[in-house]
Formats: sequence, structure tokens, C-alpha cells
Amino acid sequence: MSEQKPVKPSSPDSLIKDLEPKGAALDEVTGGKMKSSDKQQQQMLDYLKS
Amino acid sequence: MTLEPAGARYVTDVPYVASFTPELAPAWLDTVATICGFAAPRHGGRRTWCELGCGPGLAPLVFAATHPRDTFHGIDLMPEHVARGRAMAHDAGLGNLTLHALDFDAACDLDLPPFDYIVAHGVYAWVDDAATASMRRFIHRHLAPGGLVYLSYNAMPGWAADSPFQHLIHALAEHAPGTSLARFDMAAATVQALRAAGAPSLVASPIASTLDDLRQRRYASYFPHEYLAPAWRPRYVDEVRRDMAAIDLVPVGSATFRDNFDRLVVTTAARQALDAIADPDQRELARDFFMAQAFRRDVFGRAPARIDDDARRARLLDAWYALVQPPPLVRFSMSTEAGEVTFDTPAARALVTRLAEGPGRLREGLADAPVDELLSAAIALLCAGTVRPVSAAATDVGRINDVLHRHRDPGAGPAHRVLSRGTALPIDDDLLAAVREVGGGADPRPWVEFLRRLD
Repeated sequence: MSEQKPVKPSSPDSLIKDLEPKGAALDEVTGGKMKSSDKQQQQMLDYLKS
Repeated sequence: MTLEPAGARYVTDVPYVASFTPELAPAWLDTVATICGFAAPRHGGRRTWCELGCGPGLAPLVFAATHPRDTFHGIDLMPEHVARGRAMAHDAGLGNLTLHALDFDAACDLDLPPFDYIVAHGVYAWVDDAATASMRRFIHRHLAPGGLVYLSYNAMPGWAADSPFQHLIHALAEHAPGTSLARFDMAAATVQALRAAGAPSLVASPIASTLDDLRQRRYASYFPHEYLAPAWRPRYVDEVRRDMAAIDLVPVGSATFRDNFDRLVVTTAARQALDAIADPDQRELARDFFMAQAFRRDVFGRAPARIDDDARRARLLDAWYALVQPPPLVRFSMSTEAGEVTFDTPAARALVTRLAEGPGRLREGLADAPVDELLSAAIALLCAGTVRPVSAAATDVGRINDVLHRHRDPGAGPAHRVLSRGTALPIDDDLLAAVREVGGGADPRPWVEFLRRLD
């Protein structure tokens, strides 16, 4: 009986080899507090006020 | 020991904000599993889904309306929430949604189907140890093999600077007269005065320092639920993982897409330092210190199968995605905890152009794009919140949109526009008025045009 090899996928990072952050971090801008839904709402409000 | 009734252990005199959380969608959770190398639940074509602490039931309403073959349940302690959700479900003709007005302990004994997905948004850090134990007992009893659990919660160390602010607000409000809303107002006014007088622990609190702005941006009912819950306590990730391991769940990934990618959220120096930690739970805990993690959206699984790299790529290419911003407003960059990530590539632009015509699979209309570039672009757009994973099947959403509009309480949450493949967008009042062509103000044409094209 042959043993089945365990499946071990690569790290998710292997999917985005071309992406790398540069410059200022988000925490320096928002204090790390803004959630994604806030961001979307804020973006919409910013746009409407612009 | 005799516990007080659940209603005495939580804020129940003010209904919570009626808002939609897109991360709770089956397609979203499936995509998290796929990205992280796990198989999505095998549901045989009919999914079962349950939310613990569903509030007025907006998420289960949206999903039940857009997944007519699937079965949805919502459980919430507050009868007002459930009555409101049931009225909307009735008007929308949703026979596949059941809402239960129960605490989590009583819900454990319900006769329910095994669930492919159990979700709980924010609740875990707002309730006491007895209630979190009941949540775990519910999950242990009702999650199907291979099923996924979404558990989001206020996290440490991101709340470290604000915890004293929360403690003070809660203490000041605890024995004050009036509703939770009135008690929060009173306590907030006192805290603001203390901060203005220079109390260092409040001056150092980002939330105390921006409270006026925060109160402008959020609905009033959010504040007593966030700050006056007697058992409020942000959790460290290792605590939560230990809790879930005790009911045989393993970490799958994060429903905050970008948090699944070290490259996006921690610097090279941070990654090198983290590489010295072999234990994955300890590493995740330490990573949160680099990210000042204040809110986690963890996904766990019950014995989820692993998939190899080829299967992962094939599933990501085969899944459906929708653009959720007007194309002229799309930014091909995003700010993360590690810096600014730019993805202004031909593949990303081609994908936005393609999805501007409507939801689709990655390969459709983009057969010439190199697969690696296409996948990377799609992931960047998912992480930026520009694109969402959506259901393969479209449904008519006219009736549910009409019901949500008719039942909306403008003081209780934003308006929402349900999209045909299982997600919804919050629509701010000015924009809603403009969409209906009865309002003035700033030029909302890109959004108006974008929403019209969704019809």
C-alpha cells in the first residue's frame, strides 16, 4: 500500500511576488484604527465633499 | 454559581447599528480558505450558514435573498432585533431565513442543520466568559466537518492605548441614570473635560483624542455597545486560538484579505525578526505587535482539507469577482501597516476594465494576461477593497432592495444597496438622494453611473 503524500501549499505570499510596500506605514496615517468599512464610507464621503 | 440573565450582562436597551459586513459572505470565506491553501466547505450545492449575534439581521437578509437555494439562520439576544429582521424577511418573502431571539446558551439546544459557515462579528470581545463558552459549545455542536468559522474581535495590542479610556467611560456610565445612550453621552462629556484638563492617559488615547470626529462618523447606537458592555475585553490572538483549539478548530486565515500576506503588512526587517519564532501561534501573536492589531477577523476550520498550489490557482481563477467602486475612482495603490503598496500594472488595469462591465471570472476576457500577473492583480484589488469575491449565480434583488428601503430607520444605520451576487454596499444619505435624482450638492456622477449599471 502506498502512503499518500501530505498536501502542503506554499505561503500566500507566493501569489504576490511582485508586490512590496514602500514609504510610510498606515499606522502613521490613521493610528491603525480605521477598519475597511470605515475606509469605504470615508472614501465616499470625501469624494462627495470634494 | 448562578449567572444573571444574559440581558443583564450586555447592553440591551439600545438596538445596534443596522450595517452589512461583507466579510461574512460564503464566497468571501471560501476565498480566504483558498488563498490560505484550504478547501472551501463541501456543501453539495446547498450551503448552510448561521450568524451568532446577528443584530437586526442585515447580513442574513442579504445572503438569504441572494442565495435562494441555501439555508440561513441568525441568533440574537435582543427581541427587537429579531422582530425587525423577521418583519423584513416576511416582506421579502424569504423562506430560507430563520431568526431566533435567544441567548447563545439556549441556542446550543436548538435543533439545527450542521452549518458550513458559522460567523460572529465583533461579539466575542463584548460578552462575558459564560457567553463565549456558550458560543464555543454552539460551534462545537453545530459546525459541519470541513466547515468554516468567522470570528472577529477587538484585539490586543492595538487597543492597549485606548483600554484605559474604555474602562473610564464604562465606570463613569455604570451607575448613571437614563438609557445607555444618555449614560454614554454623560460619560463622554466628562472624559472630554478630563482630557482637556490634560489627563495624560486620555491625551495618549487615540480614541479619546478623536472622539468628536468618531461620533460624527458613526451611528449613536454603536457607542454604548462598544464602550458600555460590562464584559468588554479585547483579546490576544493566542488566547482565541487556544479557545478554538479546545473545540478542535484550526486557524485557516484572515477575512481581512491583506492580513494573509506577510509581504503586504510587515516590513522585511519585521519578517526576519519573526522568522526566529517557530511556533505559528506565537509568531502570529508577535506579528500583531508589529501591526498594532486592533481588530482581527479570524477564520477557523473544522478539519479543513489542504489543497496544493495548482488547485489554489485554479480555484482563484475560476471564482467570481465584482468591482465595488466606480472605475474612475479606483486607486492602484493602498496603504498598509508596512507602507504604500503600488499595483498599477497592465493586468490590474485590464481587470478593472473587465469588471466594470459586470462581475466575472478572472480568465474571462483576459485570456492573454499572464496568470501570475492576473492573480497578483486580483489579490491586490481584493486587499484594497476595490474588488470582492461574489457568488457564481445572480439573483433578482429588486424586492430585497425595496424592503430594506421601506424598513430603513435613518438613525439606526446607513442605507444599503444589495447587489445581485450576494453582497451589498453602504450608501450614504447624500449619495442615496443623488441616485434618486432628488438631491443636489457635490457631483456624485461616477457613483450614480456605477450604481445604475448594476441594475
